[in-house]
Amino acid sequence: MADSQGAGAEKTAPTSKAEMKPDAKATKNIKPPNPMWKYMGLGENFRPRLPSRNWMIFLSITGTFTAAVIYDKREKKRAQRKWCKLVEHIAKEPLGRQEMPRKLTVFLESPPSDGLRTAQEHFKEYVKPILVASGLDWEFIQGRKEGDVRAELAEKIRNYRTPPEQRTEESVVDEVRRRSGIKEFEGVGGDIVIGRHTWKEYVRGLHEGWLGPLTEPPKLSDEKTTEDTNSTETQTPPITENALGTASHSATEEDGSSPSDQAPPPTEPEPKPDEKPAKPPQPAPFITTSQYQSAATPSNLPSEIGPSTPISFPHILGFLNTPRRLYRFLNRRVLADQIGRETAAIILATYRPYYTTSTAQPATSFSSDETEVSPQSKDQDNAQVAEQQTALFEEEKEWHKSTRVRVEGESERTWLEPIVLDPRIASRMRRFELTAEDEARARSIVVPEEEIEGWIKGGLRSLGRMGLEAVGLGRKDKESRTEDEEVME
Amino acid sequence: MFSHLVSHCFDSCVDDFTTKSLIQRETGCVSRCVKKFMAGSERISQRFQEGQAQMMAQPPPGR
Repeated sequence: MADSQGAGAEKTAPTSKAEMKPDAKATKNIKPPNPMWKYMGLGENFRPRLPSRNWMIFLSITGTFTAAVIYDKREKKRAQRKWCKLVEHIAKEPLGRQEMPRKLTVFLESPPSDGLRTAQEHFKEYVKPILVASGLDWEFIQGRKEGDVRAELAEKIRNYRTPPEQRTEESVVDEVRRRSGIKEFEGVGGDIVIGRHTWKEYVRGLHEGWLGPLTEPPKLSDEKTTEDTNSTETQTPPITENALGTASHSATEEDGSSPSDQAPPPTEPEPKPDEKPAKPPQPAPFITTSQYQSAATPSNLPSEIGPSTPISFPHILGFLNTPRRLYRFLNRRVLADQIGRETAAIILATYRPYYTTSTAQPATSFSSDETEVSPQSKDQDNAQVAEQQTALFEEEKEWHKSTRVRVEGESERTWLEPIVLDPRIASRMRRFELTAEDEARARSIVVPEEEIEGWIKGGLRSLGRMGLEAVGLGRKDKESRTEDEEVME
Repeated sequence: MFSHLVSHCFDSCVDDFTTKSLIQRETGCVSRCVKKFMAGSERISQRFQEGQAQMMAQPPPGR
């Protein structure tokens, strides 16, 4: 149009409006903006700005912390899913109708100056998901105070050692199973020991069970008379072994409680006339560490004592330790990966003997220096240090100082004594470890985002998916029933 | 128990009603379902029996 060829003409604007009011529109050739923007505060004077300084401080602090927590949560889930995927194939293996599945034993004990529940939650959070994914069965040996796990484990081993005819407490469940012809699992079991304190008791209980006498040795010391009646009630088999030297420390704790989920029934305490609660007291160790060497080797000592793994259980108390605990809370993915690796090794049942390390080179054979290792055996300057002694050593520094307080005349403090090994037992202990190819397979596992995301992102994802399906661009890969599983016989 | 088995396997396996006879996928599914159900209930009853025997021998500390 000839009208619109003005000086300040923009590009072509052959609209009817330009024709009607050429002069007025020549200068303002754009439409006025929607007045709504002005009412919302985004009018002509709008300029994007950052929040104020105080808001910036607040948002950066909370944002950083939230991001750290969320990142750690996701990575922890990713690590656990990775190990779960590694062992999933075990859950799909068929089991004959008269066979029992493999059963692992989990040793839990309350950490020093804390409750059993912390240990249980640690197990539930780090170990249990992978056990669940693998479909294996497990049972607990739990302890509330120092010495419970040791006593229970030693009792179990002693029961196993006594010939079947002389066992007074045959497990009813085992009887029923034998009668129906149900076979127990034939492969290796597995001991999962959580925490250094539990590990110390485990090793001590192992030695006590295998090297100690089958009956309680008579006590020499002049303790309270109630103890003698207590001690006789814990062991009732008629056989008597040669009584070894009696233990000098032998106080049985009065307020004992040793909960267990074991099938064999616990010993019933005889009704006491005094104020003693109706809980069985914890028997003192049947053999001291110094008597290991002189103890006779039992005839049915197996060549490999059930493979075991100590699982780290970092546990620290104290208000002033809050920064350290916060650091650990923000790095739980590392712990989850480590524990996941060890649990996967337990499930895949690949094991090796425990190492003995010297300063120069690690050796796999034990020497007879083992039992003479001084109490400072934990530092690596000594010649022969066993892996069992140094396992999880750093946890011991974190124990509360009240645990190290020694009271007069109390029984042996397993937690405070160094780990003493007998070469016969120690050489037969085995430890689970992943093979290199399993490690390689684990490294190659990719965990998709769907398994890691939380419920917010997951909800959005399913919303989007539903929308796509409604529109018609549905998912191309619907799960199809594959015929790869064999028909059961 | 039989009715449980029937309803469970029918609900899980038979979903194609374009024809009134069972198609091959469904027959395979049903036979597997029956076998699994029987094996599962057998195992559960074994554990129950053991639990019963144990409870007979050593009654739990009841309150």
